[in-house]
Amino acid sequence: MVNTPINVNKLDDEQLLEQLLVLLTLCKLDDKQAFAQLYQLMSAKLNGIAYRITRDQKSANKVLVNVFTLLWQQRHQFTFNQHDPFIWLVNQVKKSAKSQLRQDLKQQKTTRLVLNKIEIEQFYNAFGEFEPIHSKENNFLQAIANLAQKQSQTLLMVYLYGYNYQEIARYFGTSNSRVKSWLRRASSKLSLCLKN
Amino acid sequence: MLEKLTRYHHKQIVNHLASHYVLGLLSARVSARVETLQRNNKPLAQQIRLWQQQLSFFDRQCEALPPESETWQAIEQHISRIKVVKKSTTNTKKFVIVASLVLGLSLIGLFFANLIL
Repeated sequence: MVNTPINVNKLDDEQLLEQLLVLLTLCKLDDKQAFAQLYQLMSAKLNGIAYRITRDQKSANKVLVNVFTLLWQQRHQFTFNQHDPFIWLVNQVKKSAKSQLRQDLKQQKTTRLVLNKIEIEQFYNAFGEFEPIHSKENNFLQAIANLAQKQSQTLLMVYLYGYNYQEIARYFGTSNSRVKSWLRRASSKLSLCLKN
Repeated sequence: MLEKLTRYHHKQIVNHLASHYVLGLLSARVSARVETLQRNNKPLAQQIRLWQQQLSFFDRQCEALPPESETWQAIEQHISRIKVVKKSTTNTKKFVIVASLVLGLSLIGLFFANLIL
């Protein structure tokens, strides 16, 4: 039986990685209790990430079911040297959330563009506030903050909320090709920072 | 052909593919192609890893949202169903093999019976 999820935010990155590696190793050995613990550890965080894209609690829960089922199915194939488990899990959640969102949009279950408009602006403003604190130790954040506003905002809309070119173009009232150009410029500027 | 292979080592192309792959901007087909490419293309794999590591900062900051209690039960049900499906598929395969053998042997029997008669 799974109890209340643990708050992952209380663990630092290294502690989280360590716990994930231990639990995934046990899962590889078909340990179902470890799988339940993994769910307990990660479900709230991953559900939050899925909700950010789907904007629907039930859809986010469906995403979680898909990802944890996939994880159990593929537990023997998982290689630790190739994947950071946290990143792997987040990527699977995002992939599944986008596909769930496409289904919801077809059935007109969501109007996320309208709902997200306020949140995107709030997040962007919040980013402006926390960026100076974190950017001292993180050049990449500093580089995002130094981008032109539309470039950084587009980048975050794509990465955090899973928007596509058409949706962003509609949001800004511009063309797809202009959005593509903002993202191309943003990614080439940020790549310079990755090399450094 | 050689040109096709070397273009995936070109810095700008590597960065474009890596960043757009991590941002989730590539189509499913191109994404799958990038996943295959990175197995033998170290610069591409490395660039993808760098982008993922840097951007994961935002995912780590994402607010946790506890799922509904039924979610875990649904996962358990799905997992138990995988086993049942696997078993039934194996049983179906066994049935098909045995049925084909019986049918094959009957046909051979009929063929020889016709020859003798």
